[in-house]
Amino acid sequence: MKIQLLKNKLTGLIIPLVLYVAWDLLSRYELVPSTLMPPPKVLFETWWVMQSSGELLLNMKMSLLRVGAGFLVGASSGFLLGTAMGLWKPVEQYLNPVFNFFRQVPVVAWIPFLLLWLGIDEWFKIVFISCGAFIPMTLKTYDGIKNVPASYLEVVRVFEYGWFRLLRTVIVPSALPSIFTGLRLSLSEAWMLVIGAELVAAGEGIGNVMVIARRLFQTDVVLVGVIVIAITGFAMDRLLGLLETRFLGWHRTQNAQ
Amino acid sequence: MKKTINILLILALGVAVFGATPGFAQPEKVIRIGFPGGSGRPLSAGGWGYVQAKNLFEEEFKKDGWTIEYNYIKTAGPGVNEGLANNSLDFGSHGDLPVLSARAGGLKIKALAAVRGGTSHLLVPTNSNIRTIKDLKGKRVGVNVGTWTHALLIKVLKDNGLTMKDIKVINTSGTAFETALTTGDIDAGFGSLSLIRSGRAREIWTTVGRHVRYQNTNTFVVREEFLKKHPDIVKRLLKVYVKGLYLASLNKNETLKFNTRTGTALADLVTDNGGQSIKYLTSPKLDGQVTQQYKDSLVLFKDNGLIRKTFDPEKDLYERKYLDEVLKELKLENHWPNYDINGNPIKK
Repeated sequence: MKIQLLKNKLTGLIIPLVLYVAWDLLSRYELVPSTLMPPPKVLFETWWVMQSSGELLLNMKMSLLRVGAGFLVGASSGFLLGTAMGLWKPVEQYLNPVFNFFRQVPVVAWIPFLLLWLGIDEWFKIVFISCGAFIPMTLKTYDGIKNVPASYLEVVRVFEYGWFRLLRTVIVPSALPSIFTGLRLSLSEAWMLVIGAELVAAGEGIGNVMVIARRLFQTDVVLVGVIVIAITGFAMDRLLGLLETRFLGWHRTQNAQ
Repeated sequence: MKKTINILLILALGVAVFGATPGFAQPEKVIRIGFPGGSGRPLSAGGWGYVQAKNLFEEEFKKDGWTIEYNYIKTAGPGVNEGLANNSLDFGSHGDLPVLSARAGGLKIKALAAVRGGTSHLLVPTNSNIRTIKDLKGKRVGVNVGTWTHALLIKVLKDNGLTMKDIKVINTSGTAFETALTTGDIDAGFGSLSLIRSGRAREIWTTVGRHVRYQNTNTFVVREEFLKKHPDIVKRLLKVYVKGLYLASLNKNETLKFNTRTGTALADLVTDNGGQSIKYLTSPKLDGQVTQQYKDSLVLFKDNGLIRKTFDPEKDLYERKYLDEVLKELKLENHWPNYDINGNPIKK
C-alpha cells in the first residue's frame, strides 16, 4: 500500500526530470541560444542573486499581500453570495441570472474599465483579483448547497430540525467539500491574476520584476519569475489541500468505502 | 524494456519541443532593419531618410535582388532586441541602454556605426507645482523602461542626489504616456517638444544645450550570425548608409527641413538640434565620444541593476573594420572628425 503510494508520487517526477535533462543538454551544447532559453545553471545563479539581495522576497511579499487582500474580499463575498443563492429561493431568482451573465466575461476583459475607474494603483489590483476570486467561490458554494441530497433533507423534515440545526448538521457538512474546491480554485485564480495585474500596471511585485527584466533583456530573470510563480502557486494549492484533508478527512474515507 | 522505450519517447518529444529553433527562418535576400518607433511616421530622419528618399539602396543592390525592410518597433529599443534575438530582424539602430543591456544579456550583436545626438525633455503637467528634479522625490514618473530615457532619468536623478528608489516608476510609453501626463495620472516623464507646443506639458529639464553625455548615442548593430553569413552584404549596406549620412551632413538647414517628413515640426527640430554641428550629428564613427560614454554607462547600469554582468565593448561589441573600409572606399575618411568625450572634434 505504502510502496504503491510512493511509486505513484515518483511517477509524477519522471517527466519533469526528463525535461530538465533535455533542457540542460540543449543549452549546454548551445542547440538553443541562451538568450531564448537560459541554461538551468544560470537560472540557479540568478535565483541565488535575487534571493540573497532580498529583491525576490520583497517583491513576493508585495504580490502575496495583494493576493491575500483580493482573495479575502473575493472569496468571502463569493461565499456569502453562493450561500444566499443556495439557501433562499428569492435571492437565487433575483441574482443568479445576473451572476451568470457577468461571469461569462473573462476577468481580464475588465482591465480597461477598471483602469479607467481605479487608476493603476493598488485599488485596481485588489479589485481585479477579488473579481477573479469571487466567481469560482460563488459557483462552488452555490453548487455545494444546491447539491445537498434530497434524501438528507427528507430525513431532516421527518425529524423536524430547526433552521440552525439543519444548517450545522446537514447543509454545511455536505456542502463543505464543494466549498473547499471553491477556495482552491479561487486562490489559484487570485494568484494568476496578481501576476496579470502586475504585468499591466507598475509597482513592486514579482510580475513587475518580470516586465522590467523583459525590457532589459534579462531572460534569466523572466524565467526565474515563471518558476517562482509556479512553485508558489503549487505550494499554496498544496497547503489548502492539506487543510482540506485535515478538516474533511471523513469525506475522503467515506468516499473510499 | 517497455519503460525504457517510454522514457526514450518522452525524451525525443522533449528534444522536438525544445530543439525546434524558435522564431523565423531567414528569408532569402531580405535585409530587415528595426528602429525604435514609438511615435511619428514610419520614416527615418537623417542618414536612413536620404537612403529612402534617394533610392540609394535600390541603386546599390539592383543587380543582385536584395530588398530592404524598415521595421518601426512600437516597443522601442527593447522590442528591437527581441526581434534580433528571435531572428525576425537582422539590423537594429537603438539607444545605449537597449544595446548594452542586450549585449550584457548575451545577445550576439556587433555595433557597426554610431548614431548621435538624441534629445529629450523632462515634462510635467502644465499646472504641476514640480519645478526642479529634486521635486520629483516621491512622485510618479512615467518611464519607458529599458530605453535610453530610462538611463537618462537615472543620470539626472543621480546628479541631484536621488535614485530610482526615491520615485515611483510607472512603466509607460507613447500615447499612453502622453495621456497619463495630461490627465495627471503620472507626475512627470521624458517626452518630446510637441507636448509643450500643444500646451499639454511644461518642461523642467532638457538635454538641449547640456553636455553630450546626456544625449542619446545610438549604435547601428547587426546580428553576429548575419554578419558571419553575409559580410559582403553588411559592408555594402553600410556603404549605402554612409552615403545617406554624407548627404545629410552637407547642409544642416536642408537636412532639418528634410527630417520634418518624420512628422516632427521644423521648429522642434531646430530647438533640439540647432545647437550642434551637422558633422557631429551625422558622424558614424565609433570614436571616443561613443566609447567613453558607453564605458561610463556600463558602470552606471551595473550599479543600478540594469545589467547584471558587465562586458568589454571593445572586445564584444564594436566592429570597426567595415566602416573603416567603407569610409576609405568613399574617400570620406576625413569628412568627419573624431570626437572626444565632450563632443569636441579632436584636432590632428
